[in-house]
Amino acid sequence: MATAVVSEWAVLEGDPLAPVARAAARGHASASRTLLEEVGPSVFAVVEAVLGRAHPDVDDVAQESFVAILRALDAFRYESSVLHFARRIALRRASAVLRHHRAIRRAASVTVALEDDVVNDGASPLDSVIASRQMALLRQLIVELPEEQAETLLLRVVLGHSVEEIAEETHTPLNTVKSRLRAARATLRERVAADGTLAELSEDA
Amino acid sequence: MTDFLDALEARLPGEVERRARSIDRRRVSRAIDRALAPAPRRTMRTRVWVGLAAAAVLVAASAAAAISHARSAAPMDAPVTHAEPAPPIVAAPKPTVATVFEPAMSVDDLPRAVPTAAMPAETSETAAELFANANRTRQSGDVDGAIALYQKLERRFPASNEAVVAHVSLGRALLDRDARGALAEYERYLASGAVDLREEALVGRARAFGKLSQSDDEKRAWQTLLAEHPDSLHAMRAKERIAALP
Repeated sequence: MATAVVSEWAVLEGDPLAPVARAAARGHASASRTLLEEVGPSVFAVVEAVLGRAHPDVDDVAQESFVAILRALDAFRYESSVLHFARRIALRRASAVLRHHRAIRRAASVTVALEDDVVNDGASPLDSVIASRQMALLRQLIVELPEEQAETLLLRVVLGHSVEEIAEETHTPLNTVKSRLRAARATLRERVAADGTLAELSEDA
Repeated sequence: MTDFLDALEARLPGEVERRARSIDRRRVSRAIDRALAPAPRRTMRTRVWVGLAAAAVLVAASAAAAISHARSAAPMDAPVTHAEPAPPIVAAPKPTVATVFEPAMSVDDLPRAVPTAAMPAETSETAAELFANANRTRQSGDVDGAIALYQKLERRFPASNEAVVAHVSLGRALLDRDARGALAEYERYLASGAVDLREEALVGRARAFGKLSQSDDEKRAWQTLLAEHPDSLHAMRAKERIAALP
């Protein structure tokens, strides 16, 4: 039996943020604030995951993401949940900042990430260090990728979206998403092989 | 070498969710205040002048067009008639940043927006609803809740497309908890004849065999993956496992 990729968001009435977003899109100031208060913590968490918790631009990027979310509401077609829509915007903004500052940040990013990163509070110290090193490696490598590959990889790794979910969200054919992920992994593999520091970082994984 | 990405995929989304619950709300509020603050006055003034200049140009152009039209439509020696004047066209006032929107309804009247994934199950919920809820629950980090919803979907709508796709999602959710259960889900998907997620199901089946320490089966499963999908995202991993297994 052949199956079509099933839309996760076939039923939107179940999204509790949808009416708030619609009111905000109509210019309802209170709704805009309510919407941002609801998605705000997730926006911050996504920005921190991409940039690193100690990155000096986290608050600014979150603020820019809020503005971008409100501006994009008019064009939002409610094909995903409002929270996912907001998190995708935050992920793109943070990714753009990471990539824009790569020349400046690259040398410092490992140190920053190792000092304070998104780690599981229940993890052992060793696990936390390994997790931070993995994040540092991801950040170092994400800036090397073409933008579409980087976004696809971040949607997969940071937001945990499946291949078919990414295809729907980015309006991209399933095989294109797979190709981007495959190419991203190949680039990462080459990058790690060519850089002794990165190879050392990846060993803990 | 890039298996650290698999480790991050398995760990990071849940950590992002947990971090979202511990973010300082005052910090969020400060960022919201700045995001909702009116634009700087200098910018506003510039925008006003640009708008006024554009309006003036439009008025002048309209007047010129009207005069031109009147001259071309009426001969110079034609008697001048005074038609009923058209009502003036007044542009609807456009809201500015400083405009205060009076809400047509109170925000308090809206459903409380709680961005948690698990929704109360409705007796009339469809396969698509169940599938969407299960996915949202999984993405929120509540793997146990997602497993329960995927299983409910498979029980209630076993013949639906959503239930077929759910075999792969459920397999992945079970992999670290119940490898045998995960293996059964992947096998069900492969037996269904569906093709969209066959690559993912083959990978999942191989990983489940690995967790069950069934080396021969794991090796064959990776070989099957490579035979069917030589360019798979997981080809490198498959080759490494095949080389490492006895």
